Amino acid sequence: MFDFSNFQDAVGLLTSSWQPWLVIIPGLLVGLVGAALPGISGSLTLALCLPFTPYMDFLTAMIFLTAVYTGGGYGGAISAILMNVPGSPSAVATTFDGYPMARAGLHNEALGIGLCSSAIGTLVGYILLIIFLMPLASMVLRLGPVEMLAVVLWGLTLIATLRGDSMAKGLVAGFAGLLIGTIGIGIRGDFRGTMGIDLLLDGVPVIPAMLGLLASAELFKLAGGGYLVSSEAARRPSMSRILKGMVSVFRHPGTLLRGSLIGVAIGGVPGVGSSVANLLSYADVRRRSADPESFGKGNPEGVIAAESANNSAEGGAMATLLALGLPGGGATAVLLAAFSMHNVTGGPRFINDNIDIVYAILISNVVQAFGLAIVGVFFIYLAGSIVRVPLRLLVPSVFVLSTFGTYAMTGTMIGPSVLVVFSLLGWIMVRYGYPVAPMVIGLLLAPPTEGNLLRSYQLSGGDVGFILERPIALVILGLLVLSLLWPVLRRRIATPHS
Amino acid sequence: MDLRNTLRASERFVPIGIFGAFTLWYVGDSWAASSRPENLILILPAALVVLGCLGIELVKELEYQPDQLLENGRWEPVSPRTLGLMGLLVLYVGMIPLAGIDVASFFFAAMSCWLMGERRLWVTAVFALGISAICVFAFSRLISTPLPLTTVF
Repeated sequence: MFDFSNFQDAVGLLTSSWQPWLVIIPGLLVGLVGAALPGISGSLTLALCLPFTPYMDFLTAMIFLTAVYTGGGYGGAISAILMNVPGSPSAVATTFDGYPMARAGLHNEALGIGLCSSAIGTLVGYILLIIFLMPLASMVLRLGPVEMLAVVLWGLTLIATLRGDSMAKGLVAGFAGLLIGTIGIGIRGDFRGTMGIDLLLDGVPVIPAMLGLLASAELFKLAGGGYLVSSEAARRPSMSRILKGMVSVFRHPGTLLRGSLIGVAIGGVPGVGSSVANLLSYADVRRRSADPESFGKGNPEGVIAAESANNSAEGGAMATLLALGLPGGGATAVLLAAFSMHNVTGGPRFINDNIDIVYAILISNVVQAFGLAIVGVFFIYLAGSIVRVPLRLLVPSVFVLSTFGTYAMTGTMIGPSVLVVFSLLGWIMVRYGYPVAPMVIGLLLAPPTEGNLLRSYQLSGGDVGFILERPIALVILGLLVLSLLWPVLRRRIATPHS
Repeated sequence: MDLRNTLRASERFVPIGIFGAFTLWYVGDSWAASSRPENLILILPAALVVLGCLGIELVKELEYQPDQLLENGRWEPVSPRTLGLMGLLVLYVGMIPLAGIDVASFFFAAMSCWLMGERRLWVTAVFALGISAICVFAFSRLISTPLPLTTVF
C-alpha cells in the first residue's frame, strides 16, 4: 500500500535540486488568475501552460502543471463568490452560498473560508493518495456504467434539494436542463434539437450556458445599483477578516472532512470528477444540517462543503491518471498530454518503474496545498477589491469579459450566442420564481447520465435485476437512499415520542 | 380589471409557455430523428417530468385571480435599465460578426456604462476603450485566441 523506501527516495529527489520548488509559486498564481477569469477554466489555463513544459524535466514539468491545477481549483471560487460567476463547473455549488455572503458584505470571510477549505481539501486529497494510491486505482477499475450512473443519480438529487420555494418549478428547471444537455448528436448518431445549426452538433456548450444562467441573470438585476456591497465599511478588503474566515473553517471539521472524502472518492471516477463532487458534497451538508433553509442564503458551511470537495477531487483524479493512465476530465487530459510530451505513459507499469517520481509529485502537491493557502491570501486580498468597483463599470466589464471568454472557449460565435440566450432565460426564470441552479445541474449531468444509462441498459438487456449483481452500485444506491431519508430519520431520532 | 393589468397578470404564464413549447418541440424532433429506446432513454422520461410539473404549475397559477396577484405584489415592474441592458447585450453579440469583437465591445461597454448611470463622457470613453483593449490584448496576444476583429482600422 505505502512504500516507505521509495517515499524516502522521492524526498531525496525533491531535495537534490531547488529547481522543482521554483515553479510552485508561479504555477499557483497562473492557476489562480486563469481560473478566476470568467470563461477561462482550469483546464484551458493548463493547456495554455503546456508549451512551457518541454523545456523542463519531467518532474519539474509535472510539479508546475499540478501547481496550476491546484491554483485553478480555488481560482474558480473567487469569481463565484464575488460575482456569482463560477469560473468552472466545479465551482457551481460555491456560488450558492458564497455569493449571498458577498452581497451581505461578508466577501472577505467567504473568500477566506473558500481558500482554507480548498487548501485543506487539496491536502487531504493528496495525503490519501500517497497512502492509498493503488487501492484507489483498482477500485476505479471496478466501476462500470451502472456504478457511474448511481453516482450521477446521486448528483441529480440535488435538483430536488435546490428546488427553491416550489418543488414543481425546481423539477421543471432541472429536467429541462437535462433535456437541453442532450441536444446535439446522440450516442447512436441521431441529430436532436440542432435546428440545422452545425455549431450545435456538439451540444449546447455548458460553461457559456452556466455563465448566462447564474451570472447574467444576477447582473441584469444589479443594473442601476451602486455597488455590489452596499455598506462602504464592508467593501474594504480586510486581511483580518480573510484570516477570520479561514480560521472559522476549523469550527466545521465534519463538513470539511466529509467534503474532502466525497471529493477524493468522486474525483477518481472518470468523466464525473470535481463538477459532481462539489454538488454532492453541498447536497450532503444541506441534508444533514439542522437548518437546511439557511443554505442558499449565505451559510458558510455551503462554501466549505463545495470547496473542500472540488479541490480534494484533484487527488482522486490524479489517482486514476497516475495509476491507470486514464484522464478523469479536461485538466487531467492536459496532464496526460504533458506525460506524452515527455515520452511517459501513465499506468501500472509507470507506477511500478517510477514510484519514487510519483511520490515526489504527490509530496510536492502536499507542499502546494500550504503554498496555496499563503499565496491565495494575498491574491484574494487584491481580488476582493472588486467589490469597490462601481456597478456601472463592473457589470459591463463582466459581460465583456464573459463574451471574450465564451468565444475563446468555443472558438466560434456559439459561445457568446449561448451566453445571451441563457442570460435571458435565466432572467425570466428568476423573475417567475424558477430556480436556475437545478437547470445548471441538469445541464452538467445530462451527458454522463445519458451515456451511463444507455450503457447500463445495453449491458443489462433491459433487466433491472442486473443491478443485484453489482455490489458497488448497490452500496452507492443504498447510501443515496440513506442520505435522502436522513433528514426524516434525524427528526425521528431527535423526537422519539412525537 | 383593465387590459394593462390583465396583460401584466398573464405574464406569469410566460415560463410555462417557454418550457412547455420547448419540451414538446424537442421530444418531437428527437422522436423524428429516431424512436429507438437508445435515443429516447433519457429524453422521454425527462420530458414527462417537465410536462407533468408544468401541468401542476399551470393549475396553481390558474387558481390565482389576476387582481389578487397584482395586489399581493407578485408582479413587479421591470426596470427600464434592466431591459436596456438586455437589449444592449443582444445587440452586442449580434454586432460581433459584423463589426468585430473589438468595436462591438467598445460600443457595448460605453453604452451600458452610460445606461447604468455614468454621465461623464471621458470616463465612459476611457473605460470602454480600456476594457476592450485589455480583453483584445489578453485573449489575442497572451493566449493566442483567433478573435473576429474588425477590418475597419
